[in-house]
Amino acid sequence: MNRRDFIKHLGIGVAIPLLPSLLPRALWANQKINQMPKRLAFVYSPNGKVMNHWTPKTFGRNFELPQTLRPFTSLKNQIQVLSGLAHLKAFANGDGAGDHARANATFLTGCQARKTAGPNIKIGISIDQVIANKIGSQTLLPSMELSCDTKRTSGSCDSGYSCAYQFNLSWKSETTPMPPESNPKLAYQRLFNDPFGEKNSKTAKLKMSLLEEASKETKSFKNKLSTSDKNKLDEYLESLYSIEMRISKIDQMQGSLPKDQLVFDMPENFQDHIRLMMDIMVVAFKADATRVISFMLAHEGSDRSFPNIGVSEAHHQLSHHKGNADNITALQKIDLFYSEQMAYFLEKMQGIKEENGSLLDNSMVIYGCGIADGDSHSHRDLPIILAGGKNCGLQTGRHVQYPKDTPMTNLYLSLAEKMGVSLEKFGDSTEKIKDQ
Amino acid sequence: MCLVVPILAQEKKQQSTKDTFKQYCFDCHDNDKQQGNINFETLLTTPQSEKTLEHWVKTWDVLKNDLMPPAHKKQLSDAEKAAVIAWIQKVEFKYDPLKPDPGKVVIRRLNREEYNNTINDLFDIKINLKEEFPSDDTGFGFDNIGSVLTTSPLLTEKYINATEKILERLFLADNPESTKKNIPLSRFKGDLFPGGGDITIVSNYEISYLDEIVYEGDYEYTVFASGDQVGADLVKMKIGVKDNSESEYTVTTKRGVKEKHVFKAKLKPGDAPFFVGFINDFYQPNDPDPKNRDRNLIVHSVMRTGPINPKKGQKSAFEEFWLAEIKNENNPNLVAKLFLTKFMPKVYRRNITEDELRSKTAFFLSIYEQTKSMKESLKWTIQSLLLSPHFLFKDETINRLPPSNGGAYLISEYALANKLSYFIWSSMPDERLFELARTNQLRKNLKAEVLRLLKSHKSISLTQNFLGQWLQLRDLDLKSPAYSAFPRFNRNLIKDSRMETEEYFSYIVSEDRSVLELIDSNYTFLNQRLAEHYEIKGVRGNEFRKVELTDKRRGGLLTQMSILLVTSYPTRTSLVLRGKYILENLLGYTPPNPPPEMPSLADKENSKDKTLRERIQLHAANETCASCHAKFDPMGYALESFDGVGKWRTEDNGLPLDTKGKLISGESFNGVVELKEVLLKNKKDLFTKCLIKKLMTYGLGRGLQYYDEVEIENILALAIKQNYKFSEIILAIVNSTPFQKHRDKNE
Repeated sequence: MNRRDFIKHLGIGVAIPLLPSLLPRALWANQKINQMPKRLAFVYSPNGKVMNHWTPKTFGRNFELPQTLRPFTSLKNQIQVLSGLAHLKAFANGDGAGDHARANATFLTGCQARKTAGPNIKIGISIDQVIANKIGSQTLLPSMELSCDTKRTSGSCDSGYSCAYQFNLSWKSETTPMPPESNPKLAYQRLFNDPFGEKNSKTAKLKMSLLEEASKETKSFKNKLSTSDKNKLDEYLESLYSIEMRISKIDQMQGSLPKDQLVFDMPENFQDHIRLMMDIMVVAFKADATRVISFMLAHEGSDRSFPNIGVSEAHHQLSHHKGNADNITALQKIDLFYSEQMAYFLEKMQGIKEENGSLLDNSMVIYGCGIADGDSHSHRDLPIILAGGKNCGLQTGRHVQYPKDTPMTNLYLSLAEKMGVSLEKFGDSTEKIKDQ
Repeated sequence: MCLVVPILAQEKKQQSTKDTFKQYCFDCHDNDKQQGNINFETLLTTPQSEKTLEHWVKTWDVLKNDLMPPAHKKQLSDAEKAAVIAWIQKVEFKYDPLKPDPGKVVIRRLNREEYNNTINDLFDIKINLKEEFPSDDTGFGFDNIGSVLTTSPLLTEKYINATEKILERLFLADNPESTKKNIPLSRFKGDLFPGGGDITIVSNYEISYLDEIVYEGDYEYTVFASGDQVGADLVKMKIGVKDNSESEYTVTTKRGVKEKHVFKAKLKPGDAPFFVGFINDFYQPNDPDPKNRDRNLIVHSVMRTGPINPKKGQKSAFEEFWLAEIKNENNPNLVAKLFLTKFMPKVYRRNITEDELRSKTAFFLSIYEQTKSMKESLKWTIQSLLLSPHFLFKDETINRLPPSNGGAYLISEYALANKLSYFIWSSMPDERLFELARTNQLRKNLKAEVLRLLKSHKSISLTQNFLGQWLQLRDLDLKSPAYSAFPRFNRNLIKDSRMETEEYFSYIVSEDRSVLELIDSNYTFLNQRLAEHYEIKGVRGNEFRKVELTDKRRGGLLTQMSILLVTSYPTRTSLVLRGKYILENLLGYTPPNPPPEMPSLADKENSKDKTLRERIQLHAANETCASCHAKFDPMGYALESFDGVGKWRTEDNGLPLDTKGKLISGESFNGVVELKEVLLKNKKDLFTKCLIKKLMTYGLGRGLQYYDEVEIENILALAIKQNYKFSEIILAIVNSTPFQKHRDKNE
């Protein structure tokens, strides 16, 4: 099945009738019609942006979209360009080189990654997980983590940082990353299939006893081990528990889920891969299978080249542009490419009508990067777009200038509150952003 | 006097160490400026605590790796540095060479390679599960490090999905449905294009795919093909399954017009080596129309349908075996005991306790209670065993012996069998290893076992997993040389180049050669395409074979396309990446990272009338840059004779190359041939030590620590004595304290 067929199948293509089983209301027994759920997505693109083509020249509502943001023209009233936000914990702060690993690791955590190649990886729980912990029990999956990196580089990662920092955005605890799924087929199956195959109440009890047996054995094993080994088994215990929760939820479900074992090959083209993942995100939100998603378009420091848009050099290598005009032109093409994909996603969301507006109106989408200019690795004045959220109380359609070095985590506090999760502090936050 | 002299010497030493710190470190790390929260003024006088040890480990580490003092500050002499490092080890670490600390390995989860191999060995099946698992995180360059491997809900779901797939393989359906399966062309061996597309077969040979048949029955393979129709005859093709049957087909369509051809075969469970071959190659090089010169076969896609009309009630070998074992027993309690007593130790990879047996029997009975089916109870019990932490984790404390000699204990024979097996095979121990462990004979037969494991075909895992990560061969799939820079480059060469290096290393492993042959050798492994890329004549056909080299310009890792490509950018070579790669991966030295404000290759130097070397030299003329670049650039100069895809060249940017260089240790060379000579003459022990450290990290599943240093030196000494033979290095590692023992501290 190709991507176009897939979109048709999922009913999110233009003028294709929606499959009844995918309507959010059909999914949950006790969903109240006029209280549409709010959703939150984070989309990360690596290696910074060419900032003078990103930042609008004026503030407020009447700003003009610079070159890199042109793909958002039809969405201008749905987005906010946020300037002045920073991730100060992504700076070295005494730890030396490794800005790419840190940018990636800090983006959703707002914490300083412990510099280590292996033992004792430690950063902080990420904002998506904080929110998922609070509201995730209401959906099939508490959260979803996606990426388009199908292969990882081997050997060592950035400057003595464990690769865990560079390939995961989302952290379940300060020591346990949530690895993203990069295979669209598997991401889709995960959304709509019971981990044990078909829904079958007869075997539900057996499944539960299987998980309980594994938990029991893990607990008794754990007691014989030293502290650091115990932590490893705790991770396993927790994940067993999360699956028990999921199975119990499947039994509460009403209506039927698509049973198809979709066969579609891995897209060979990067754009197709990105868009297929985005389609899945839209479907997941639409069906209210999850309310929190993080998506890494590519890991920080990615050396992908873009022959399809005429850029044969590697992205990271190019991002150290040294002011060379050719490099900057090529880089900006990449920035534009990513903007186009984002615009595709937002348009798809806007096209989905819900009771009180569009899916985009009921969702808040952060798109951005933990590095501003790739050449200097700065983590200040980050390129951030906040899209959608009209029904969440966001004032869309403007370019906002925040005071210098406003922590990104201040914005996260505000978004968390709108998701119904009230936090005193998160990461390096100082206070909630008031005008969001 | 005898007493007084050492004390005086010690004091003197303490004093000189303090002076060294004062001279080189106090600038930034004294009471006034405690940069990075390190203050040597107080640290040198503070009594030891966990906190001070942490600081000293950091200090020791940055000194060993030349991370401090920063490049623009005055540097310690080698003698001063060695003295300070020795002092830290002795005084602060209290390192006692007589009671070495074996270290602590955090319990290791099976990574996805290990999980897949273990499942296949446990049930004697071939099933591919790992591709659907998330990538394992890496640390210290490898993806089998206990402290770095984590377990997420996603992964646990994959484990559950995997057990379902395994059970489908073990307990066959009574009436299996015929299914259609697409066989991706990328899975074929032979001439293929990574990333998809069609396969063009240009001469008389076959592409093959090792299919696995679960159900006995009739199968149909559908091949869509077309041809470059040249000459009087149409393209002819052969489709078949080796040792079964084959048929000939005539392809009548022109390139791109897909024509359907169906091959039918009766197949039995097990391997089905499926192939498609081109059998009437034709070439008329003098035809004026280039499109009318070469006859080729193009394969567009392959599907398999089956089983058609299968025999009913088929059983897998696994089920047959257990049915025979259980006979007609219908007491569930006895069946559970019979099955678990035999099977559970294999899954847990050790002997099991009475408690464990009792508990799992109870689980079996509880399922039987609900299902009243022996088969269902067996299935759920197998699932439960595969979700047991005793299966998913490698526990080195199993059956542990009492500690002796200063807080370390020998790991049990079972633990050793597992450690050894996962080191060399990335899989569970086989029957023989289990038997030796059970009878406590493994340590006595360790040498023979190491040799046996290395000779086994399963040691291919060492090549794929260790070598693939050590030399970053796994990254080759991510490489895409730019068409603008290398318009004639054939992407098939990327897979070929990986094959060359893997075959080369496998040969050194299985033939037990000297590891120094990795630096230089008079042979390599090539197929026709790669040989032509290397401008080596006389290699015909697509298969890899050992090729004697007469020209010294090829031979050794440094001259192999895989390494040269991994260290290049899409559009050009990078002598910095290449030099740094050699330094880090072959000589075991990690140069400090450039300070953040340092430019990499600045483009104001990027003028068209200079070679890359000249541009780099301009850049490295900056004093801050120069001290570091002197450590790796020169080796990169020598490799400039190979372009960004590993082809030999004599000029860069249209200008003649200068491949002369000089190591900071003083040796001069001109070109790669002389560089190899210098490395073999003066750096062979440094190289061997680096390889030992990489192998140890991989084998132990943890990063190396200060207390491992002496062990590493001992292993190196043994390696030198045994003429650098590969098996001797593995054996010395396996015999070393960190491999054999475990720390007895609870942390």
